Formats: sequence, C-alpha cells, structure tokens
Amino acid sequence: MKKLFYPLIILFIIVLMVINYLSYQAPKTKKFITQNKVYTNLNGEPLFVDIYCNHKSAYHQKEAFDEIFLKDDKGDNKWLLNLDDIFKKESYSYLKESFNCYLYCFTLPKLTIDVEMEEAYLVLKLKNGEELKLLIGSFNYYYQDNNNLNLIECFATKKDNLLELETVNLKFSLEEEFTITKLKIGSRSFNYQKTVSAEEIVSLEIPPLLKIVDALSLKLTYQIGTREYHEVLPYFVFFENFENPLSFSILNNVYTVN
Amino acid sequence: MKKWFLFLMLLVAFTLTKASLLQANSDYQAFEEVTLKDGKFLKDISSSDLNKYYKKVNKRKFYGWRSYDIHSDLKLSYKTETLFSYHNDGATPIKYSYSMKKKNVETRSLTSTGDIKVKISGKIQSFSNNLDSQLKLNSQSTEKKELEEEYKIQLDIDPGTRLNLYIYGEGKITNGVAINYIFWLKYKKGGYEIFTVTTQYYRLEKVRI
Repeated sequence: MKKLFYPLIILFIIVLMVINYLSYQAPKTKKFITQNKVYTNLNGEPLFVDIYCNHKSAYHQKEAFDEIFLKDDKGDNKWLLNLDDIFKKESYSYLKESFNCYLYCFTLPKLTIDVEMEEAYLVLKLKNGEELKLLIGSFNYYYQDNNNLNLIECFATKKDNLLELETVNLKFSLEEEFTITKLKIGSRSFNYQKTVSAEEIVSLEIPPLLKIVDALSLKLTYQIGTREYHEVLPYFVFFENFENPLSFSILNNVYTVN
Repeated sequence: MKKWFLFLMLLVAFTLTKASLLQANSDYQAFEEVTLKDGKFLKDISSSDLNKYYKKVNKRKFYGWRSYDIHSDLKLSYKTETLFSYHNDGATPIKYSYSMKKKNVETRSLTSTGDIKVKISGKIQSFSNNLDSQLKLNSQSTEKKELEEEYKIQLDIDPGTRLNLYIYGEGKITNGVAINYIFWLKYKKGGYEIFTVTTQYYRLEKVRI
C-alpha cells in the first residue's frame, strides 16, 4: 500500500494540472464592430444603427446612457440623439468569434435645413463616464416639404460581393422632358447626362462607394431647359442582405475596449 | 439456430434499407416565380439519376451519414409576393403614407425525399438524425428578426392609378443524396435540398388602372 501512495499522489497532481490547464481560458478581448454605411434621414424619421459585439455590457442597456450624439470629425456638427430602444438581433461569426448584432433605434430632431457628415461618428457616453466613439459611415439629413417629381417606378440592382447599389432605376410621370445631371448618394455626387422621357425607365449606374448602400433617400439634380432643380426622392429600402454582413470585411470598423 | 439468426439479420437489414422516394415538397414552390440559372431542383432529378448518385455514398461505415452534393450553391432568382397594392379610383390625387416594416423572413428552407425528414422546431427547420452536422449546417435560428425597423414611404397616387410594392430576390440552392449507416447497415437514405435567401429586393411601381 505504501508503494502505491507516492505514484497515486503524483498521478493526482498530474490530473489536477491537466484539469487546470484545460479550464484556463485566455481573457476575451471585448470588441465592437460597426460597418460603414450611407445613412440618409428625411424630415426627422427614425435612424437605425447596427452595432456588433462579442460581449454583453452596459452599452446594451438603454438606461445606462448619459448621452448619445452624432459627430462629424471633419466639421463642427454635433447632433444629440434620443435613444428609443435597443434590440438584440442575430449573431454572426467573424474571425472565429461570435458577434451579436444590436439594433439601436434613435429619434432625430426635425430641422428645416440639410445636414451632411462625411465621416459620421456615433459617440456613446455612459453614466459611469465610459465613452465609445464609433465610425458608422456618412450621414445626410434632408429637409423636404414637398416633391416636384412624380416618381412612378423605383428599383435597383446590387453589386456582386458588395452591399451596395449597382444601378438605380427610376421612372417618372411627367409633362415635359428633363435631364438628370447629378445624383447624390450620401456625401458623394455623381454626374450624368440622362434625358428622362415620359413612361421610360432611366437607369443610373453607381460607382463603388465601399459602404453599405441599401436603403436611403437619393438626391437628384435635374435641368429643364437651362434651369436647375433639386429633388430628394422618398426614403426607400432597395434591398436587404441575408448573408453574414461581417463577412464583407472591407466595411468593418473593429474597436477593442478594456 | 444459425439459420434462424441469419434469417433474422436479413430481415433486419431489409427493414433498415427500405427506400421510399417521395416527391420533394419544397417551400419555395409557393413563390410566384422561381428561376434557376443552372442545374436542377431535387424534385426534378430523375430516379435513375438519383440511383447513380447514391453509388457515391455507398461505401459502408460503422455509424453516421455519408453525403454527396449533386449541386452546390446554385444561384436562383425568385419573385414572392406583392407587399401592398393601393388603388386610387377617385378624381383627385391622394398622398399615401405606407409604413414599411421589414418582414420576418426565414432565410433557410429545407426539403427532403426518401427517409430523410425535415424537423420543425418552432420556426427552425433541421434534418432528422443529425444530417445537419454532416452537411455542416448552422443549427442556430436563421430567422431574421427585423420587425423593429419601420420606414415610412410617402407617395402621391394620381387618379386612376394603382401603387404596387413587391418583393423579388436571389438565393442559393444546394442539393444531394445521403445514406445513414448503423453497424455498417444502411438505415436511412434519401435526398436533401437547402435553399438560402441571400438578397431580397423591393420594387415600387404605379400603374394605370
């Protein structure tokens, strides 16, 4: 019996060491991911922002926030947002980690001017003093009280392997022809010379923006004769993506926090 | 005694290998229009072709599934439904404000033939007898919960016109055959098909009544 005592003790210690080694998990780095997107807001409609996280924290509780605002790093615009709610959506895999998607729903103040943020940051300030500043893409606020153009057909095609529009197709009911000279998508403008006739679909090709461009208000500049007009088209969801959005890694802004 | 045992084993083997090729009952048949750019749906593959593919999974194993993808990630396009249709029979234009809520969409739909069954637990579909693991299907819910996102579309509808908003989209189809083995005996065999929605488009149009 005495002969077995020491080997058993050694075996017991080895088992304990193995259990200890297996149970050790490297501390997980807390990460937030936002994606560059073209956000447009018409007349103070709600604003929806998706934020992906690999952990649960106070940033997912509505009551924990002191204030939230949108800020343009290149300008002086700072816009206080009212957080209506936070919803947990699906989880997605990204670089062997699982990220939950949280939808932040905001109400914007109604302004009578247009606002543009080429690089919009969402600044989340907690009551405990913690703060996060996340790049979400570009943001445009449009004020429009009435439409001059009568849009009667609207649809789009999507670029392969990107979450953005390839073409926008529009048809108008009109009494006289006009020429589309410019299309504004977020903070970028593209020039065209497309004459729009009655009952004819006009197709506008969109160059790559490397941002999510799926649901927005388009701003058109058009000419009738020599006079130039501007029109903000109604907010429209052109397409929805059902693949893992984080797999489009070119869009991702990854933030690590302590 | 040995003869009885042999007879019993043969009977068990026969019972386990019974194959019943049923017609696939696919959910996406409910779509108004489905266009497959290349390849075939499982329901369109003939029995003789299926038997040819079964030979690819004929090598017996102690336990579990052997599977063979006949088609992998075939692209397809579809048209599903008209979300709304609004008529203006009056004599004056009307302003129409539509609250567009993003719909709950089941992004994955499974169908099967033969002994393979599709289980439905809540709104989550999975194949019976753990075929999901063999096919490396993600077991988590594939339902998009986006009812929180609501957009308002404001449009003028002229007299004598109808406003339609309809959905069409793109997806991927993977189908194949599989055999499940228990103690090197064929236990279940059949075909599987996985349809995954990748993109859904919205199209708005005003047409004259």
